[in-house]
Amino acid sequence: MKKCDESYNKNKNENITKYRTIRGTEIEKEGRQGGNKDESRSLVKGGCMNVENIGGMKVIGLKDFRNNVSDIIFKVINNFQEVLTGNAKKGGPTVSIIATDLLEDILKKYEFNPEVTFDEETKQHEICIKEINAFGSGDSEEEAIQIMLDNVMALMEDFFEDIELYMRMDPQKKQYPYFMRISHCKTESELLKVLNLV
Amino acid sequence: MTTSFRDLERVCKALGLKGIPKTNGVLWKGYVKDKFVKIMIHKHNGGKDVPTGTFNSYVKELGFSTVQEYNDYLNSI
Repeated sequence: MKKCDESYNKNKNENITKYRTIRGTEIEKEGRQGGNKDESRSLVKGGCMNVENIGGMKVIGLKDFRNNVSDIIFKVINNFQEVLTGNAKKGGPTVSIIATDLLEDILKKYEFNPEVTFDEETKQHEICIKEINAFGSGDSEEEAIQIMLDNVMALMEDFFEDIELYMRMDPQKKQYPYFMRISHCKTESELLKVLNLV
Repeated sequence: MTTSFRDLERVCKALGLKGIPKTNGVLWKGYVKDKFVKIMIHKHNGGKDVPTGTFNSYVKELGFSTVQEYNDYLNSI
């Protein structure tokens, strides 16, 4: 077991050294390009640049991405790097690759604030989650929570099924990170925690 | 003043919303007066009344200015 660990650590260290060597060369190259950064700026839609965008992030061309996919994924996961890929020559919109753990950390900013009340008129408990315009009600608070969970799941399923429509509508588009956060829940208890219902 | 979930479904249907069956109910969605509307009705809520807070939100969402206007529409369908 210890031998395995040593071998794993050795490989990991080699990979990190290899990565640092590659990254070092890249930084050196980037440094050389630093003086004429503005010249490399393209005015294509999406604000991308052929080689490097304004924040200094390099766009990896699709061919390079295909050829180095394992290395790139390793860097994304182990070195917290975000990678942009797309058409490096023509520019245009890019795709970001980010570690799932990191994405989930970012999504924590999108908090749910459920309002739980008791309605005297109907003698029911009702819950409202304004962030995603979801409602749930029941004779007991437990039933209202269960119904809310079912409704939230149905709304999330619908959101991702019809995402092309929703991303074109402003109020619905704003719900995207919230539904994304819900979609990353692995268990019902995790979903309850995320929705602030425990 | 409130309504039953069944009557709410009747109103959604009459307004031209499309009912999409889901595992635990029906999701009504579509456009009302050029505004996109989405209302989820759980199968366990069928015969019950809609709680007041939820009902008031749905009334506005469905394009009615008052509960009375909603009831008038319900009585007309």
